[in-house]
Amino acid sequence: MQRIYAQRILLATLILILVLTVLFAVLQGGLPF
Amino acid sequence: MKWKTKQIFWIVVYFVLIFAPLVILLLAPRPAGRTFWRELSVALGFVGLALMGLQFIPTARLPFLGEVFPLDTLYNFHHRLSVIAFLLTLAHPLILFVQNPYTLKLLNIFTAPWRARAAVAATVAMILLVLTSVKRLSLKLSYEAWRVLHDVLSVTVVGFALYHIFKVNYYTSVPVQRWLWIVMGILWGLMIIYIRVLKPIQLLQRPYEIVEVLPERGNTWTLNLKPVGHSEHHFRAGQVAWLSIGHSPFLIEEHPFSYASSDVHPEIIGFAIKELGDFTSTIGNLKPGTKVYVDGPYGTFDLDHHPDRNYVFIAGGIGSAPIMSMLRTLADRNDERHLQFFYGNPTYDDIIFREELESLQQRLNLDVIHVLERPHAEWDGETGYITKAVLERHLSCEYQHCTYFICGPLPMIESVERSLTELSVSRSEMHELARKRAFETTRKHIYSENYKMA
Repeated sequence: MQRIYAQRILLATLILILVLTVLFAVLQGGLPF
Repeated sequence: MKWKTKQIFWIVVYFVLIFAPLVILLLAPRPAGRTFWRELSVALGFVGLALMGLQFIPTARLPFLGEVFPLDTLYNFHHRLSVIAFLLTLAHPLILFVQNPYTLKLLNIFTAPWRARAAVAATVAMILLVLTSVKRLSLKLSYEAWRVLHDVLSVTVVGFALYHIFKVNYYTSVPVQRWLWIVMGILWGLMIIYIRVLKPIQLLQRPYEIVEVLPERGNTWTLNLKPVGHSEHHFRAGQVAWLSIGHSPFLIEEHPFSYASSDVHPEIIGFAIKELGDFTSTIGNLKPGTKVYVDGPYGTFDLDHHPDRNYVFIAGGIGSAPIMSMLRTLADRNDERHLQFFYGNPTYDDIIFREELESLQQRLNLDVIHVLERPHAEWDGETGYITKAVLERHLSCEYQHCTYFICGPLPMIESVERSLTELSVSRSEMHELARKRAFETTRKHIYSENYKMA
């Protein structure tokens, strides 16, 4: 079960990283298009 | 605090450590003339570095993490997260090069400024770090050489990366940002000092010595140890410890094994070790009196984390070591609940602890279901692998209300868990200890057992 939790935390980490880095880039640098 | 609450607490801390740098970056004045892609590249670089630095923590064997998270899960998490950190960090320069090809000139270390040289050094070290970890066996790197290299490269990557961000100074101009990275850097450094200096000093003060080395079936040895000059060592049946045998704990040569003895008698602690590699094949030659340093216990694969239900144990080969610890403990506690043990082995003669399991059946309400891959002609028990059909034939009528302890190579665990899920067993009642993959880049012996599932 812990293995499944770990996989979910990894997935959540990856999604949060992608969302927050894009959000950061928009806030600091504006929209890409 | 309950261990599950502690787990949630540490998971929250983990997310804060990764994302705090990104949030604090927003405190800086917004730089003029910077594009989306450049800022995305910077953000990925910072998050990648935070993740890289964080990798020092799960492998530092901190007692407060070791008692709430399974050791194999922590290491597995470390491996996967390291690869993610590597890809994110690599994306940082790649986006810059695509967005502004002029920056490719910074790759020339003879003409580039020091901030760029540091970035190149960190990237090269990072690539070497990942390559030597993922391809250690193909590169024929010994485990000990690899661990030294791993430490040196990890510190090099993080050191040069920190130097790079301070020299670039775009997002370290505000004191809180600067201090955040200084504090993070100190925290990562402390992890290295803890595992390589403080922990060996602690271990030196609590030596053990070998009492006996007993041969078992299936090329396995039982190593019994007693404490020398200090009180006994308390652990919970099923947990794991790292052993340094016959040399100083400062030498980077230690190996993780499950306790196999009863936790009711901590005055003698036992480990079952199968001959599967360079190190484990020497266990049989060890002499009583040899000094051993025991770093443990670690992990949550133990009875007392899951105390209330009937137990079903499922193991393959030497995966029986922690299960034996649990069965011996339950017998010493005169436990009366119904227990089942599904035990997969290649042949009848390979069944480790076969005779002791028979005697444990006299002391416990225990069914042992042997499953043999290559049975002899007269064998009338289960054959092949521990499949759904095997489980269905033998599980007791209350199997959906049992706690399951599964130990073996990862393919076996995944297959058994799939079967149990199909039999409507709740995932929350399955607890596993992987004996392959979890430590595969850090050790090769007991986890390299060739166990295939149907």
